[in-house]
This record gives sequence, structure tokens and C-alpha cells, in this order.
Amino acid sequence: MATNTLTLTLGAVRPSRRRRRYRIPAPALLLAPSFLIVSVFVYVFIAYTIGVSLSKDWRPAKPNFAITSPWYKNYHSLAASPRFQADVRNTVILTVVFVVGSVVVGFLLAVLVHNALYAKGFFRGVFLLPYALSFIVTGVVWRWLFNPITGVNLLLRSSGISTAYQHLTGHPLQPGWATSPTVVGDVSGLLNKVLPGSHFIQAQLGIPIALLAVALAAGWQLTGFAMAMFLAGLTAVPSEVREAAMMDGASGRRYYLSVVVPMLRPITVTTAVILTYVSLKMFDLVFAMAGSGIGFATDTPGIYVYETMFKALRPDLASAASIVMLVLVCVIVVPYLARHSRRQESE
Amino acid sequence: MVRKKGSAAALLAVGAMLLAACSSNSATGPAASSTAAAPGSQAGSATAAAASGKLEVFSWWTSGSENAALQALFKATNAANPNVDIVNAAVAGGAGTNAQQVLATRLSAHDIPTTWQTHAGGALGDYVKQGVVTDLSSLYAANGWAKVMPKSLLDSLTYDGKIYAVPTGPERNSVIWWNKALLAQAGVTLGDSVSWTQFEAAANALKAKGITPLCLGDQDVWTAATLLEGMLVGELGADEWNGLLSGKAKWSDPKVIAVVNHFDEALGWANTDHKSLDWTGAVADLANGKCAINVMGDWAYGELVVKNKKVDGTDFGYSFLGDPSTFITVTDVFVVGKGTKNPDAGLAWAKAIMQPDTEIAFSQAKGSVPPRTDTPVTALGTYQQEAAKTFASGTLVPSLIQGQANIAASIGQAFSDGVTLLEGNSDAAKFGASMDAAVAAGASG
Amino acid sequence: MTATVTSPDTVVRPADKRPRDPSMSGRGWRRWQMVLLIILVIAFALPFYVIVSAAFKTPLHASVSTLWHLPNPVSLEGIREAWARLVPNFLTSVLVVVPAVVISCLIGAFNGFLVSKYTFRFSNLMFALMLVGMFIPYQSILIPMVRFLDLVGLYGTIPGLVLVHVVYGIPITTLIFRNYYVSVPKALVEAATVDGAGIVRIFRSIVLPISLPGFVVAGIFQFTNIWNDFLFGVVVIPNPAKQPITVALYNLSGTQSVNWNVMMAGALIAAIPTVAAYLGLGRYFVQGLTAGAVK
Repeated sequence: MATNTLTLTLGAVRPSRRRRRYRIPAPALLLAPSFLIVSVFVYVFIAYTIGVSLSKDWRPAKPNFAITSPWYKNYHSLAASPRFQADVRNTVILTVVFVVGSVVVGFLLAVLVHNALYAKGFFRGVFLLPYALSFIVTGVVWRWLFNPITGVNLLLRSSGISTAYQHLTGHPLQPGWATSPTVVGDVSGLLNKVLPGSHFIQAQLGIPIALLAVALAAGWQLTGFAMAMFLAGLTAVPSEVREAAMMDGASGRRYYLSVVVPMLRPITVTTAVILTYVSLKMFDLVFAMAGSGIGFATDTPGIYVYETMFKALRPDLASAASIVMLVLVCVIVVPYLARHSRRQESE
Repeated sequence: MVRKKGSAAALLAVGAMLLAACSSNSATGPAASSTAAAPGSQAGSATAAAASGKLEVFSWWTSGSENAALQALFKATNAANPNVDIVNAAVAGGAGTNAQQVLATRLSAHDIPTTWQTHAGGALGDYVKQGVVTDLSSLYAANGWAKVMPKSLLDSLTYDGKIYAVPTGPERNSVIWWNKALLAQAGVTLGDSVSWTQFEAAANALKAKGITPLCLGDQDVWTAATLLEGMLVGELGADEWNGLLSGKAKWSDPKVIAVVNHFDEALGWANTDHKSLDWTGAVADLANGKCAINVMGDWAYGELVVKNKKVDGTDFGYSFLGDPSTFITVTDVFVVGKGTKNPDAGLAWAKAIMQPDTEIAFSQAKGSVPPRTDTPVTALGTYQQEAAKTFASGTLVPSLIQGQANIAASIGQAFSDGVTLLEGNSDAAKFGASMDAAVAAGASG
Repeated sequence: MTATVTSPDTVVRPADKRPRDPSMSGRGWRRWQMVLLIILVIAFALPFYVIVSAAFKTPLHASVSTLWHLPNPVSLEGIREAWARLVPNFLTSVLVVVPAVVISCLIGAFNGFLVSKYTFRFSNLMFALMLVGMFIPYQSILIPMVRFLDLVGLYGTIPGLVLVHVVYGIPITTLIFRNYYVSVPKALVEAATVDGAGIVRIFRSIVLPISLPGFVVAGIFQFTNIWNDFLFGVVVIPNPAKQPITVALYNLSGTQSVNWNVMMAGALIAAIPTVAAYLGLGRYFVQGLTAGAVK
């Protein structure tokens, strides 16, 4: 039985035998070791974390999984915590802005570099180089650059751009960047009318400007990677397609929009998933650059878990936060992946 | 190919073992089988033979004056115990939170360091509850240390009547540092004790002359919280502050709210780039005359004198919010791990760092004051001598933002989070309410 | 027996001689592109100027208030100190990164091949499960992870750290290769299967040789990820002497006062191997190898 499925991998076997005793398909067996160890490192550990999130007196050296009462106490605290509410909002905004921005700019860079006449290696290198830096250094450098007095604003002042802007609008162009407390487009008021009882949401439901600054810094670091992915795709476009487009007299823009972009869809998806993963894991960059920000404008769940677990010494609350984030991600990512992979198979 | 099946089975087995290990609350681990909490390890006699072997010191003092101070402790320990091999396991980052992170994982793997740094207060209590720190009461008794330490300091190290840590060098929080030249320009003088009205008047006078009144570097929010803490203790007094920490007094009380509103007003006097400067940047700005007043712990003294090369009395001066004899303490302490391979080395360390000579060497490097009241301070600078006097005879209160109070650590975190929100929404009432809730939750947990 | 792939595109063409994309032939367009490129290069290089100039400054001069100034005086003190403090941990990083990247890429390639070419009943589910779980914040699974490593005796060891990186790298490398292999026609694999080749043989002889772009992308991602990792490095190996270089880099920043010149110099030093890896792998970008060209 098992030997038949295993001999499949060793060499030639009569086809008929293969189909009759086919219990566990060989590919599944070959995938199993990876699947199992990842499952341990992911799901067994998640189960452990869920246990901690329900506990009342768990400590690292004295793991006590006795359940707190009510069992959902920590989850309830999270839902009512203005900090965690802000974190969820920040995660959504940061991920969307960062991923979309990096993908779009990355594609643009890839096109520009791909068509450059000379020094392609140099251009590729310059855009990819930020990716080689440690996140903490990126955070520190961009914190300096975004200092409202001595950073980029100084360049804006000395180059005259700030005063030019002042002639147009009456205010000098000296943005607060990551120190800005402004939240644009706060829809909490509207939400209250639509969803009664949503006043428990204390965080402002808008886009913190400070978060956009963080997205900019993160984009600087990761856009090169997106560019690299798209470059690989662009070089893989078969010559017949290119020649056919040229023969049809397609303009550059038409060619890219109608031919190249659809062709690069798998790469776009992969890039987007990887960037989403990076965005959700981003800790050091935000922490070093802006910390939690004014009114938690740049706080992320990662920072929240870190501080709650190791500073406030509340591992139960921190674990609950992790589980909530995981569930939120699952709810969004899984259906998309399922739909996308089904679509790919039908192609 | 059979390999693959075998490895899958092995992995399943390991996963099951893990679950089994998780469900049992046993504390067995590699180190537990060694000379663990035997009664003899607590006996630490006053004339013990020198210890030997490996001494792993875990802290977050990785560079600058802190590292120099740590090296002073190493030197003293090695002098008294030449056969001890000191391993410096310091971890930087997050103002100690990274070290907490690593320590938590080490404790869960029962890889307990011989000694580690912590704050007197909630964190210490957490270790006591986990049973990972050694009771040092007999060491204290044998050496008579309890007689030469201020009672409130000793209390912060005591749980259930037992003492669990040795202090290194208390520092004072929320001192007002001011730039002499700028104050003179605005015609302002700040005496030893500064009340809120004096503070406000000074700020207005400075603003009138186009000088930024407040130097703030709150990229890390604890610096802003330091200002609030200083104002609360200064305006409300030590007793009220202790009451707020223990829950006897309410944060939503109108007089507390008034102080919080004053804090909000003070934030308006700060430099515009305060959110992207750290505390050393703010001190540098004070030194360079970009702004006039900075409220910070007295580690700023070393920063002003050593790094920025300013002279006490000529370039800068200092005052205190409210009563000058109220000393807000920030003390780093060392605990001795329980169940480690070399408990005697841990005790030798504790003994060595409590010696007066060690305390002086440490204080000189770090800018703190000796915790023992019988240590002669003539070798220290003028500021430190004054601080030592206040420490010995004044009223000591624990710092909340630096985690010094014997209360749940989550209350300090709530204070920090509250200040973050306050900076955004200026809602003092919400701040008061959230602090009351946090104190109640922390007391019951 | 192996199927052979023939197509005009498997011929390696130096990038500059490849036919231009449509309508990229107008001079105006080209100049506009170059101008835009130059502007973007300046924008991207600006932070690097700050880092490099800070690395050569004295401690007091390397601060946020003087970030645009050129080093004056130029000081090598930062580089010297950073080098002394980082180099001891360099070997550990190499011992961790090289095996971890190689193993996780190979496993990811194999898994990606399995999942994209052999759709058995639960293949998508297994793949999705592998992928989704890695989104949990790592701070919260540190403790069970450490307990597990302690249980299997790998806590505090380099193989333990390699294991952790490999396992957490498998979902992403699988994803990268899966999406890359989707463009490999199934006919190729089916032909080989009919000829009697086993799964592993097909992978080794047919798929692996054309996987270079996948390895480049996965390699770049994993190398960067693992080399710059701090969290696992500091938690799995508590002994500072045996920690990876990124942990040593973080330790350059003290809790109270930071010497930024040392930190920035350290950042540059720590980035050198990653940059070298990019240069090494980046060569393969000009080659138009792809399986999507089989007729």
C-alpha cells in the first residue's frame, strides 16, 4: 500500500498499479513534513497563545492556564481600549497605503529601469539598496529626516519651495510629518449615526498624517524589492508579445496597461502578499521612527503586544491582542487567497 | 523516502510532547537539577569565602555612562572574588523592555541568569510571584544593611516581609534644569522650590522675549510623563501622590484634574519638534540655548556636564517643583536568581555592590547617589552631595513612570498610555477616569 | 528521460541588445524617462547621504540638528568602534543565514512545485493553512517557541536559530515559487510523468534548472529577512558572544545616550553582506530565462 505510493517517486512503475492502491497521494506525503513542522511552529504555538489569552495568572516561569472569569475578559478589555482601537485602524491604513504605494511605485521604477539605455545596474542598485538596511536604522534616519525643524523641512525652507507654497496658500510648507497629530477625514461622527452604540470606539476613524509619513519611510525601504519582482516579470515577457504589439502600432501606454499589467498579475499578487506580510510584521521601523505617536497615531499591534507583554507585564492581554490580529488577517487574507488560487487553476 | 514518513511521525511526536509539557505546570528544566534553592544558599555569611565560577550579569546597560557604571560593579566583584568569571549579558533597546523580553523567554526555558537588573516595584513583585528570585533577607541581616538604608527604599525591595534585591544608585526624577543665560535675558529667577504660578510666570516671561520656554524631547513618551509626574508630586505633595498610587486617592479628583490641565498648558510651551527628539536632544537644546527649561531626571546632569561640556552654576542651574525635600526615586536594583548553577556567585555579587567603595565608584560613573546613608559622599560632585543629603533625610516617593512603585506594572503602562492620549486630545477627565480604572484593575489582579 | 525546453527566449541576451518595448523609441519619451529616473535616484539616495555622513562625524556632531552638514572634522572613530563591536558576531550571522536561506529556498521550491503542479484534494487547504498562520505577531509566540526549542535541545544553539528561520521562511518561499511555477506549463510535467519519471526526479531534472528567477527573488527576500532579523536572534541565542550581527547592531544604541556616528557606521557595515548578495544575485535579472516561452 504505502510502498506503492512511495515507489512512485523512485522510478518507473506500471500505471495501473498506481491508480488502484492510491490512498495518500505522493505529493501530499512529500508536502507533509513542511506542513507538519510549520503547523507546529504556527498552530501549536497559536494554541498556546490562545491558552495564555484566556488565563488569569500566567507567567513565563510559572505557566498557569487556569481560565479567567469571564473567559472573554481580556478580549473585552481590548475592544474597549482606545489604544487597541487605534492600532487596528493604523494597521488597516498603513497596510493599504504602504502596499498599494509600493506596488505602484515599484512597477513604475521597474518600467523605467527596464527601459533605461545605460547604467541599468546602477539604477537597480540604488533603488534596491535601502532594502539592505536594518529596519531600526531606517527608522532612525527617517525620524531625523522628518524632524519638523532640521530635517527635510529645512531643505524645503532653504530651497524656497516653502515660501513659494506660502505665496499660494498662505501657510509655509512645513509639514509635521511623523510628529503630526492631525487625523484627516474622521468619520466617527458619521459612524455614530449609522451604527448605534458605536460610541465605544474612542479612536478617531480617519487617516493620521503621521502614519502616512511612516508609510513613506517603509515604502522607501521596500519599493526596491517590489521593483525587483516586477523587473523579473518584465524581462520574462516573451519577445513575440512585444513584437506583436509593436507591429500593431500600440502606444507605450496601451502596451503597458493592456498587455503587460495583466501578464504580471501573478507577480503583483505575490508582491502584494509579501508586502502585506512585511507591513504586518513591521515593528522596529515604526518603533525607532515614531514610537506610538501623539494620541497613538502611529501605534501598531506589534508595539502594543511588545509593551503590554514586557512592560505592563500583562501576557494575557498581549496574547489576546495577537489572536485578534491573527483572526482579522485570516478573515481578510484567506478568502482572497482561496478565490485567487481557484481562479488560477481554471486558467 | 521512508525517511520522510519517519520524520513526519517524529514531528507529530514532538508536537504531542510539547502539548503534554504545556499542560503540566511542572517547572523542570535543565538548571533545576543543579544546586537549587537549598537553604544554605540564603545563609550568605558576612565572612564568606570568595566565590568562583561563572557569574552571568543580565542588564540593559550597554553603552556610555551606564556601561561604565556596570564595569565599576564588575571591577568591585572581581576584586573581592578573583576566581569569578563575569559574563556580561546585556541587551539594549526599548529602555529596558528588550531586556525584559529576552529575560521572559529565558525564564520560560529555565535558563535563569545568576543576577539581573530590574526596577524596585511591580517588576520585582512579578519575579517574586514566579519564584525565580532568591530571598536575601539573611544577607541583609548578616551585614546590617537594613539599618543604613532609608525605610521607603527598603520597603520597595520587600515582599511578604522578605527582601529580594540590592539597590545600585538611586536617581532623582523630574528635576527642573534651566539655562542661566536665557533666564537672565527674560529677567526670571527660579529659586530652589518652584510653584506652578512661578513656573507659568517664568514661561510667559520667556515667551515674551521670543525664547522657547520648555525643552521637551518626547519621542519616547516617558519624558513627557516625567514632566507630569513632577508636576503632580510638586503640586499635590508626597502623601497625595502615594495615595494616588495605592488607590486611596482618586485621579478624577478635581485637584488632580487641575494639575493635568496645567500639564496640558505646559505642553504648549514646548519646542515644535519635541515629538522627534529624544531626551538627550532636548538636553542638548537646553545646553545650546535653543530653549530655557527642561524637566528631567538627574541623569541629565551627566549629559549636560560630560557630553555638552556645560558648567554647573555658570551655564545652567536646577530647581525642584514643589517641596525640594521630596525626592522622586528611580533606583535600579539587582536580584539574585533562584535555581541557577552558581548561587554563591550571585550572593557574592550582591555583597560586592553594596560595599561603600563600590557605591562611590558606581555613583561617579552614573551620576547617581549611594543608597547607603553611611557611605561618605565627599568624593562626589556638589550636585550629588546635595542629592545624597536629600535622599538620606527627605521624603522619598517612588516614580510611577519609571516603574518604581510596589504596584502592578500595568498601572505605570496606563500612565504612559494616558499621557500619549492626553497629548492628542487634551482630555484631562478621560485621563483621570482611565487612571482610576487602571489602579482598580491593577490592585485586584 | 528528460523533456527538453527549446525557445528563443532561453537564449541569454544581454539586456542592452534586447529589442525595445513599443513606442519607447521617441527621443522625447526617453529624455523624460531619464529625468524622472535621476530625480528618483536623488530622492532615494538622500537618506543614504545622511547615514554615510553621520558615520564619519564625531559623536557630538552626529545628531539630528546637524544631519545635513558634511562631516567636519571627518572622523573614523565611529567606523572603528562599530567594526570592533560588530565583527565578532559576523561569523554567527553567516553560519545562520547561509544554511537557512539555502534550505528554506530549496524546500520552498519543492513545495511550490508540488502545490502548483499536483492538485490533490487538500493541496490548496494545506497551502493556505501554511501561509495564513505566519501572520501572527512573533512577540506573542516567543515563549512557546523557546520552550519547544528547549524541549528538543536546540535552545541557545545556532542550528536552533537556523531551524526557526527555515520554518518561518517556508510559507513565503513556497508562495514565491508557487506563483512562479504557475507559468510553467503542466504539459511539461505530464510528459515527464508519462515517461515514468518520479516527482523528485522531475523536480530535480526539469523544474529546478529553470527556477533561477524564483531563487533570485526568494534568495534576496530570505537573505535580507534573516540577516536583518533581531527578534529571533536575541531570543533564541541569549549569549551575546554568539548572537547574530543585527543584535550587536541594536546593542550599539544604549538605553540612555546613543553615539549616532557609531550606530550609522554599524548600519553600513552590517549591510555590506546583504549588498554583496544583491550584487551577486542581481546579475541574473538580465537573463530572460523563463518557462513561459515553451511552444
